[in-house]
Amino acid sequence: MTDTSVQGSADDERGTETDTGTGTHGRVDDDGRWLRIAAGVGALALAVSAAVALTNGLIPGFSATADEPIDRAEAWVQANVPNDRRILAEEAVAERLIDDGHPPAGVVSVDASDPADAAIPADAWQDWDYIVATDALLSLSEANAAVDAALTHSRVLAAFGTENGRVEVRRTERDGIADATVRAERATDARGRAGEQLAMNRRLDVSGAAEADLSAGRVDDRILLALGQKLATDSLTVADFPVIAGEEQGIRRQVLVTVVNGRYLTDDRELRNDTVAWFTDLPGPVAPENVAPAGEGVLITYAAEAPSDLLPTPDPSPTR
Amino acid sequence: MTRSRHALRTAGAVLLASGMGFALLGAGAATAAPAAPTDSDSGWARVAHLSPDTALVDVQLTALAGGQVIFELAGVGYGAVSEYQQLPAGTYVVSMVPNGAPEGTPPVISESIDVQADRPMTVAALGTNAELETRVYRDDLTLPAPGEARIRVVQASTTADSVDIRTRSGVAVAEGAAFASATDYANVPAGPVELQLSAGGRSSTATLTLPEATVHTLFVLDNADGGLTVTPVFDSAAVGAVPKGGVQTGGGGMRSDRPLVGEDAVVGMLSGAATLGDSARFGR
Repeated sequence: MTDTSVQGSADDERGTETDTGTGTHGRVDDDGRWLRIAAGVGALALAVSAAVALTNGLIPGFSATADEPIDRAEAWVQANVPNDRRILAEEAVAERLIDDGHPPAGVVSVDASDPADAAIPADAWQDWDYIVATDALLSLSEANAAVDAALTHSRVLAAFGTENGRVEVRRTERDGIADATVRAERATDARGRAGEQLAMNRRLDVSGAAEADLSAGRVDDRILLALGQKLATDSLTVADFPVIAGEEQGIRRQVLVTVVNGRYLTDDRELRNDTVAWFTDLPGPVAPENVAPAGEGVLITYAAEAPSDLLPTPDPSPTR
Repeated sequence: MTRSRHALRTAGAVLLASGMGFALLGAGAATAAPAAPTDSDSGWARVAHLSPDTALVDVQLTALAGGQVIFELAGVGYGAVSEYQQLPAGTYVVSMVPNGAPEGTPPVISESIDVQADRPMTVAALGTNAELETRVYRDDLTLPAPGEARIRVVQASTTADSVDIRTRSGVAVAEGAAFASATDYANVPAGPVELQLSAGGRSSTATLTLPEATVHTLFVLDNADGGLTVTPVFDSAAVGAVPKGGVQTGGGGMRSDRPLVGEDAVVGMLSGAATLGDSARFGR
């Protein structure tokens, strides 16, 4: 601000000399400066208002900066939602998803002003797999029972932004949120029990944070089983279960292996390649989505959509 | 890694087979001294070879806490079932790897199981070799009331979409049993039992003698003629502790110290699935 003020003053003086050449510079100079300041303040106020409007989602898609949460949510959907899934989104977001390549038949948008949309049966939500829940979509739930039910019977997979600018990617639970919640709690318990056992494995070395993730049931079933199997023949060091952006509250579906049989993967190219190959070639339900050398080792990433029931849960029945 | 191979002997008898390609390969009441596992922190598992065209495969049970048990299904008969093995309680990864595969070959992980005290289980490798998979079945070795036996069906035929099995007295043992499914156990009168089998418009009858106070699993399998075979396997008899009265509760060779890994891996010992009557080769 100081620099601008000094510069402005010098410019004003030069301008005055050019424009008038009279002895009244000082007053004219002052008036002009105040007029410019007033105009600047006005422009700034307009810009701030526009920014507030944008971050409130009133003009979706207008500004990259204001749309950052939706941009990240859109990227998450593009990376993690298979094309044969049906996604509910507000109209502007739906168009973007289609532009990204999601089949139009797999994108559902609801228009509050369209009587046909208002008449959508309340149970229509059971045909929807994912929801991109923006503030605008949330407002639709008040008038549309299907949207309201979809939001009620869904859980957050990834979230971006805060407050009114928050965008959630949600997965519907067709059996209803009550049953899904019970299943999720049991699954967390099962992951926690399995994680604690894995942490006891003498062939596994984990950081304190990683061990906490294991015990808390925050580590994906597929990672637990793949590591358990690998530990039958090798010792491993797991540096971290890195969080994927947007999934801070979710299950860790990445694992960073840094040491195998006492050798750092950064120091042993052949061992690193063997490790990449072993995880890459895992077939069936524990097949990773991506395995690649990372800065400190090998990063194994699993798909967001996971098979269910890979870990045992307490079963009172004698047969299965 | 040291592994030994044990040819799985499948002794049994064809008690009765009639029409439409069905055959019943019998198991009966032979009893033997059970192993004496008393460790309350241990459970029991056995492995069944139910893949008609798979000759060599290892079924591995790998403990998350450390340790691994390898059941080699090499040179063993289709339809054969191992002895129960005592395992430390805990969660195990169930996987398969082709026998003799190069070192470092990733296994096919199918699921995981909780080995628990008093909860014996059967891990089956089933399906055709091209689509080989494992399934885990909880075994309920609770003994039946006096004068009764208990049976259940595991439908492992790769050619029958569904199978119905009833006793002559009308007890439905299996109704529309789909591939890889297991029925609940049913109580039936001990003694000779005539079973009526039907699948895909074919039907047959077969007779099996079920001793009093015994528990059996009837595996429905393919036979060499394109028909079906029912192979009864003894689950339990009326003696001892968990597996309660297990006639085939081995445990020999199983180490209880943890971890069982690498060179310490234990090889499951496979033994006879059926124990009554004359020796007969099962399957193909």
